[in-house]
Amino acid sequence: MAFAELAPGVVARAKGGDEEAFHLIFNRYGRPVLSFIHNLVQNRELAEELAQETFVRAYRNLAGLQDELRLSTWLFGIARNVARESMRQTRRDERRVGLDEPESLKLKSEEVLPEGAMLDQELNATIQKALLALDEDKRLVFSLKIFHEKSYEEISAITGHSIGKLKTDLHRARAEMRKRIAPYLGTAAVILCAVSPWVWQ
Amino acid sequence: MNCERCRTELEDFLYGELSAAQSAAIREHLTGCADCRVVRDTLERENEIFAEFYEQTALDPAPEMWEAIRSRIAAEAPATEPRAGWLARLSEWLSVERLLASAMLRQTAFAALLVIISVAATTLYFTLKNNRSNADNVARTIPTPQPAQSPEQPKATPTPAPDSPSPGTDSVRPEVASVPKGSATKSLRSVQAKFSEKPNAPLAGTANEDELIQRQVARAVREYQDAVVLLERKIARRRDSLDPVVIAQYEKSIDLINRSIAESRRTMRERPNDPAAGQYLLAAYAKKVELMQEIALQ
Repeated sequence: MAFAELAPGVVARAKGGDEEAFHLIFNRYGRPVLSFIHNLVQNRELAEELAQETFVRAYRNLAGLQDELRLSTWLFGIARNVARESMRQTRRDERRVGLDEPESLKLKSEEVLPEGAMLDQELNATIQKALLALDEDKRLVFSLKIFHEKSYEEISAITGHSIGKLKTDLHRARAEMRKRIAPYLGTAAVILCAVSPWVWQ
Repeated sequence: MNCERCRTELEDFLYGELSAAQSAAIREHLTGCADCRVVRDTLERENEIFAEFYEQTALDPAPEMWEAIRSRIAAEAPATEPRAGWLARLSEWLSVERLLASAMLRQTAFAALLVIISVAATTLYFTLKNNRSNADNVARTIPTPQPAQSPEQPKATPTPAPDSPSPGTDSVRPEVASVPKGSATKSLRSVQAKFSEKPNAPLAGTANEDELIQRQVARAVREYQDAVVLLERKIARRRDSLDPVVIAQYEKSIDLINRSIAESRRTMRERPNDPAAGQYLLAAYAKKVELMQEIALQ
């Protein structure tokens, strides 16, 4: 999940209108931003459209970025806003976002996978469904903390939520996710789940 | 540390969010508690599963995505070109701030701006003083001023004090309209007009003049603050309908202006008799109100 940092001066060059420098920023952050949006909207085509919008808005507003060291947090903030606007619009349109079987996890017909890969597919599908079941705030903090390894402070800057709320949402999100993936965690976890309920509340 | 406390903090411990002392306490407890080690191992296993999930399902942008982005940004003006509306004006206002990222350079930029305003304000201030001194000198050269031939009073056009906003009124526009726009320049004209109103009044000295300026600045600041409160209410009511990017930009800009206000206040405290600090404070408030009006009335 870790990427090499951008070379010094890249952001300044991009601010000056250097398209190549902005391309480097896209190469560095395109994957995490696209994946983050996909975690939120659960639709690849829509996620790609929104990621594109995110980078266009970032280019337009790059001059407003005060601290280059916070570029990642800033980009995730824009991505979150773009995704939120889309989800609001979707709700207004009364169209439900979310797929019973996420596209990225659909098995191609006739495709035969080794046993381990089948298990991975099954587990991934379980996690994807569990993510879908989380409410928006919990899914947001879970994605930023667990997948993108952001600090509470960064997540607070991205979402505007207090750190206390973030911790509560994350703890509850993990508890909900755990219930879904418990069978994959082994016997010890299942037993512990029963004897130490406060851990899994 | 007991097991319950340990398990409550284990997640943050694994995220690296605890202090060194808290982490040490967790480690110590884990050394002697097999049950909590099982919980830690389970959480670590969960984290591994989620990390594998991310690696396997994360989406790589297709090359077409960059092409689409490139064609869109190529069709737009370069990022550094001036933009229309309040953003352009704000960019102009904050251009030094944007160009100079470090705190030290920002201080320098502020100081430079202060010097410019100080020079302008001081020039005008001394011009006023000289005019009065000349008038006094002229008066002194007349041995016996005749009541009927007293020096002609300058045609003063007192600048009316801006109307105070009416708190508690629902409509914001009228209050906004009463905001003392024109800021520093207008306020300085107000001060000038105040002097001009009483050209023959005996000036007790610089102390009285400074006091007068300070009172004028304080009054204008109070009126700006009233306007800010009303505009904040208006913006809060329509916040959800505004573009989040605009809101984010607006908040950053307001933050910068607030810092300028704080700097000006500090300068005023340190140099209470420096008219430039007061003028800069008013200029910052004027910019703040102008920006808030743009957002509130968008």
